[in-house]
Amino acid sequence: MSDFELRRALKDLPRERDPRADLWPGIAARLGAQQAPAAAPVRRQSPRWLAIAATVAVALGATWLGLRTQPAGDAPRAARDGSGWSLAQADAMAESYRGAMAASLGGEHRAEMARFLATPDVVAAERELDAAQRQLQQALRADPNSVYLLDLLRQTHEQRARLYRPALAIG
Amino acid sequence: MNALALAMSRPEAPVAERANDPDSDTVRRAASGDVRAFEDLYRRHARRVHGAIWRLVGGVDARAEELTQEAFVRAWQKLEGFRFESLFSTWLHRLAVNTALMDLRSRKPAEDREDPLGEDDVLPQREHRARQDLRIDLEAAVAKLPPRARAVLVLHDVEGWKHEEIGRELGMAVGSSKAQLHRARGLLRRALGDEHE
Repeated sequence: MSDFELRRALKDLPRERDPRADLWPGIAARLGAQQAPAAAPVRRQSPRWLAIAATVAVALGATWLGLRTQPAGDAPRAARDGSGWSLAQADAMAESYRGAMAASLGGEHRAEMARFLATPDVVAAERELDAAQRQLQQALRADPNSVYLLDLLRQTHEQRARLYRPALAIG
Repeated sequence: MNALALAMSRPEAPVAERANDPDSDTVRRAASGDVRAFEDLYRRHARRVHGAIWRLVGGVDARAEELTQEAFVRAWQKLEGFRFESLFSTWLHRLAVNTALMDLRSRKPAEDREDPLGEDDVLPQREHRARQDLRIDLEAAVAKLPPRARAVLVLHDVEGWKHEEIGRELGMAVGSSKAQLHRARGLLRRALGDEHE
């Protein structure tokens, strides 16, 4: 079989395939255990959540804006000392996130937040986010100047902030 | 891994194509929390999503179905981020492929067997093979490729992705993607060659 014949045969393979059974009931069950997409205008937005969201957004945004405007100057330096510019920015971003969340979640809301973080769905989501961050940090160590990976890491911080939204919205 | 799944930087569809997206109204309803609308989207796209995932995971039905469910749950979660900058079908397909690739990335490298198509895997000889027979044998041979080589081959030769996109999603250099494709095609030709001359 020639390369051309093989490629044509591959291209002709059917793109669609039925699952062995209807998957919708399983999907619907999982959706039922979750909230509607966040765009749904049904959830009351509390001032506390908005304040926290704004704090986290400002912290991450400032870090992100800073790194977007500095690579030309900092990248060579980071490359010279072997640390990697994006890797260093990732540490700064994580610190900004931790600081913003700690400032927003302390005080009288600490117990409420602890209960929320112990629920199975949140534990599972946190575990997934932790894994994503570990993998991204590992990838950054292999490619320490990757702005792309750094942007993905920023998104995990934002996702974690969104994860806390249900608990904060009732405060 | 949600963050990786968010990295859906597929080229945008032409403006005219976006304006004619047949899913746009349904997507808007689903994004506002209408589960029935989301079920409509599932009914329209499940076969295509499952088809791509099934091939990427090597034809393992149970795994493909599990990942298809996972892909739709993630789509529901991420609908808020869909900005109609591409066709919904393109966005969903990208998300589904990414879901399968995350599964692939979680595998240990040792699972990438160097010689997956051994003597025992040689496809049975038949006379007067028809086109349908070739398709069946080809599917079987693709399923037996090492996972990463299979992913590159499926994405490039079946799904029509560029090496740059494949490299980005699989975390490999463009040259590595090309090498994996060459390797995968060679393995397939070796598996099929004797029977489909």
